[in-house]
Amino acid sequence: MSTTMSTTLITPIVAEAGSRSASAVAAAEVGDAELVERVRGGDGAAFDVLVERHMRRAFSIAYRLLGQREDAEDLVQDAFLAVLRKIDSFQPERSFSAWFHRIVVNRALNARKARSVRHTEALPAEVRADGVSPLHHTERVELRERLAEVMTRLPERQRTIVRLSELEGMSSPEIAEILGLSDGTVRWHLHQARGALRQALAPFVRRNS
Amino acid sequence: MSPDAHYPDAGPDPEISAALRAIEGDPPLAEVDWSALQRSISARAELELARRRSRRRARRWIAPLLPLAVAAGVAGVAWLGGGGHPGARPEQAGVAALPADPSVTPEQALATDLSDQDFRLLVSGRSDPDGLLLIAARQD
Repeated sequence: MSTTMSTTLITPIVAEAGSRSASAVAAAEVGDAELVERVRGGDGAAFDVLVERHMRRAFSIAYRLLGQREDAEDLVQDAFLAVLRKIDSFQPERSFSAWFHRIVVNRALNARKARSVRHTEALPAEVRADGVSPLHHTERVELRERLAEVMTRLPERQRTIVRLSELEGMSSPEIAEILGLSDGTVRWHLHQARGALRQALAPFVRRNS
Repeated sequence: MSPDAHYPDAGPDPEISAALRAIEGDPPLAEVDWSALQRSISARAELELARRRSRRRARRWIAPLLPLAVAAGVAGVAWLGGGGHPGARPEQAGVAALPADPSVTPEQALATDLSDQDFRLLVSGRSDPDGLLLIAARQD
């Protein structure tokens, strides 16, 4: 059933807190724009569905940018509360997830600036070795150090764009909307950052081929 | 040539993605207590949501009453502007009602805080200087 059809069949959600779980079932089938409209009227069930729907991706993005689980969890909470405060300014014809991710990314970048900690300091000590790369341990350590160094040298914006693209799998139009840049600018930054990263990777690729 | 043509959007680069994953690891999604996180967000959001609900309820009550309030306001202004009774001219408002009240005697009026003009109006039925002169001339 399409979202439009299911939306029309759903009984309107009663916004009182007491009927929250029952209305959550109905709200789960509704599109983001409709949920936002209900949240504007104070519908807790609709808000819960939005949280349930977007918190994992938000956490993932926050973690990529902050490197700490606890910080990422705190940021996700703050981002959802910011959504609630700013929800009247959301334009329903736009994508909620892009709007929300923009809040997450901006907050994460501000948090990074505030604590003035380089991301490399927060890198996990143990690198995953579950078949990601056929490199030997020493080579992996060397590669890790080299890539970390290149990432550190990249301008903050390029680092963010690379993480959103390469690790979160976002397209350049998505990143452009989140960061408030043009699509062309995002592609240029990606091109620059990838060039630098490829240069760092080249000796390892040559060695293994 | 546009920048888009220079730098086509080819999606993630598999080699770079794998290398970055190798150094940065994946987000520890399994370590997060999602239910607790959601509960915490809901609890912190409750105040703002309640505020929004009460604002909506208030709007629901006020909206139908608004035309009535406007109509009452307009009627009140018209009533006051008309001197408190239909057909009265604005310049007659207030003082014009005094002579019409037979229960107020000049003695009572003296005891109250009437202006000279109101008192003259009460006694003679005229308050303007020409009208009073005319009355005085007739008495002579």
